Amino acid sequence: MFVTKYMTSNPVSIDPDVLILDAYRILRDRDFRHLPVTDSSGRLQGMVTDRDIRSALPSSVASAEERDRIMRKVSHTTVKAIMSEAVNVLGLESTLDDALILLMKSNVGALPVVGRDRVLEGIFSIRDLMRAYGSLFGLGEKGSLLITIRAGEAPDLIGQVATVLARNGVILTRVVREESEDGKGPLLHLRVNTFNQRAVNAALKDAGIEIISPARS
Amino acid sequence: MEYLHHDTGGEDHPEQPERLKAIARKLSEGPLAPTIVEVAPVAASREDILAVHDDDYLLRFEDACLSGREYFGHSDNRICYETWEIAFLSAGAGITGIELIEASKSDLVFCSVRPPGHHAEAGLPLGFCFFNNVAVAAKYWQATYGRERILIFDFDAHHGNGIQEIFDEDPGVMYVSMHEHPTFSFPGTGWDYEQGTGPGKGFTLNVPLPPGAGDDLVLQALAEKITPAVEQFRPECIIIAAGFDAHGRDDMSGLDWTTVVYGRLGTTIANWADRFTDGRVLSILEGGYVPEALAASVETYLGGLSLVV
Repeated sequence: MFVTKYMTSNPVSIDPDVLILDAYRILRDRDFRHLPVTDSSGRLQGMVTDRDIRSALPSSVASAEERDRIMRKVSHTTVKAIMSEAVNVLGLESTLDDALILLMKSNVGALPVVGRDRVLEGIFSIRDLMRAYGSLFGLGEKGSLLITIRAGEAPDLIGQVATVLARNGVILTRVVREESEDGKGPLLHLRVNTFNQRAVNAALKDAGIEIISPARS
Repeated sequence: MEYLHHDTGGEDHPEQPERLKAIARKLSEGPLAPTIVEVAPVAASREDILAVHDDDYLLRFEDACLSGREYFGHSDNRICYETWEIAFLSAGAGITGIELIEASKSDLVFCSVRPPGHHAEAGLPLGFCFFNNVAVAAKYWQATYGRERILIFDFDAHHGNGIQEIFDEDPGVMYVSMHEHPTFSFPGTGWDYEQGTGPGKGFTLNVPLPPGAGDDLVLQALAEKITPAVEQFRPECIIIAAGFDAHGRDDMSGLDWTTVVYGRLGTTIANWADRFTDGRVLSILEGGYVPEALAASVETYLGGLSLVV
């Protein structure tokens, strides 16, 4: 559940006095969108993005003289001039939930992960978030299927489910709760490792558990 | 009818011998009866199976069956002592069918077999499947008759992960599957963005359907996605992974097709065959777990298959 598990550790970073055009080359060669800027001790100074660099470059509709003039300026300018200094960061104890909230709030594609003294330890992107939640939800786990039941009032519902599945030798790998659209109460989606949904559905029904079929309510 | 001796442990298991008995009864009592010729399958050879499965996998499977275990791999995959031999017969049926087709003794062959095959991978039993019968047949067709464009169309309610995996990089085999969406359905594979890998890119087509999908979505998928892909591929041979568990009365999937749509699938495939393969189609049974619905659907499918509309 911690970002440190899913982040890119020891990411590529640059000094503030790296020229914009050199930074651009790094982004292009490595196919990155975000480059953290650190000082000689590895402490985070800011972030420069693909977008920051493009804003610094001349417009494609400008005249040749205008473009030359700007490019001459750009070719002498370091990233310090264009980077964002006030950057949202995650810490080594940050969870995926923290990352989700912060990514949504700050509307960026990636966040630096810093340790003590704001030393850069990693970078965590939206892609990393998607991959993390995909694996947490059991995306693409071969040999499983989803059973949807009504999350009733009984406090021991999960216990009942577990008992039924254990009796049938079926492994439960995920339980996810979702609000329903029919106003009859929330749904629980159970991911189970079996093909024999006939047996599992019958056993759940016998235990008085309502199966939602098809899995859309 | 040795397939009946693959004992999956009694009436609780969906993959029952009664499935094949019901098909046989329905066909012998129905209008197609005078047109059907029964042919006994010849067992596949070890080499035929090794074209698809690992040697080590065969050793483990043999050991599991002959030492009296109740299941192989997951507890779903029930076996008995006879299963080892029967699996070779099940995989051999498609090969026997190919021999009939290539000798022009028959254009339409239906292999009423169990255990089914399309979930089995090179080293993995899954979903009641041990040998991938369809894959074994396709590999045989390639190796023995040099066939270079084989269409495998799988309309079983579940994605044929085994078939896709085995031919993922092969541009000579186009795998088309229509199945219940992997978010909900076993085995959790078969995403529409998957199109094949490397040289096989563009030769896999997955059409996931939402739970509750009925005939209209089937016909729409055929018209808008599948037939155009088949037309572009121009197959020399057609193998159908014929599962009938998308039927509304089948409780092993969330799809809601009627018996009638299996007839439409039959006529659609017959049309492809008429245009591309001289009318020749090899169909191999996969799923279908409510015997009455299965038998009616098979009969309707075969009826459609014998019509060129």
